[in-house]
Amino acid sequence: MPPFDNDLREALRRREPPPGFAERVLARAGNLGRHERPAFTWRWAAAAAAVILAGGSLLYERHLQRVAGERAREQTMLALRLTGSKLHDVRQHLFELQRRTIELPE
Amino acid sequence: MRKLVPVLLLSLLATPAAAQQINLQSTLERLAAKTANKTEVNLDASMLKLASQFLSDGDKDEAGAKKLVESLKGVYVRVFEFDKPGAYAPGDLDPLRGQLKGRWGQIVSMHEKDETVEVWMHQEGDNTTGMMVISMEPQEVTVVNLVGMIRPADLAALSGQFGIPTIETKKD
Repeated sequence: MPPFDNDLREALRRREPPPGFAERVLARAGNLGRHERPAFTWRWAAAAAAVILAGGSLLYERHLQRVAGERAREQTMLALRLTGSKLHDVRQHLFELQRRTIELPE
Repeated sequence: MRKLVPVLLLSLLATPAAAQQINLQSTLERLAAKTANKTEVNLDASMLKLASQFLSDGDKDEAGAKKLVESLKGVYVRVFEFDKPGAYAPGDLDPLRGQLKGRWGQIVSMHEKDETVEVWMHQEGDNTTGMMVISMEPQEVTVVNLVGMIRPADLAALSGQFGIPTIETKKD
């Protein structure tokens, strides 16, 4: 038999795997499976939803506060305009009385 | 007894504020029953604080209002509008006057043509701590209750601001 054939036969000869080889392969395969899980899980989805909900409610709260503030501003101005208008009438009336008193002939 | 002392002290401190604020709801019931249209403004201390945050310093009227509301603890307004003259009786305001008499001083009562304006003040020492303006016209009654420290300068400013012209007085 030519030496090449011998070499080939030797290279292709069935060899028994070292002890624990099968367990090691299976263990590695298990780890690979774990790493391959999708990154987007329900946990992330829930966290994202919570962040969106919290942000949304904060924005809504700010909006409500702004509406209440604007309303309070308008009501304050209305109240002070009314008060000012009535006090103006009184002052004008008193001023007229004072003027008439001054103009009275002696 | 020791536990009661702080409660009594707190209630004594709370009394002046209550005295300046009149219960407009119950005293104006008769008018409310006859009115065709009612405008109501209720601004307590927290609402006034909120309002002052939204009042602009750039606008003359709003800047004036901001300064004024800083010392106020409450602003309460009622405007009653009626369909026709004579829809209400001046006596409908007696429950309100009844609450004011004794504790408040009436400083002005002006009658001109069809309009009557009364100005009442609540004094604590030398300070004015409350003001009530009652205006009666044939088809409209306006009641304004300002609660808190009111300075004479504020009153002068009130009648010369908010789009209302100042009365020019000649000084010789």
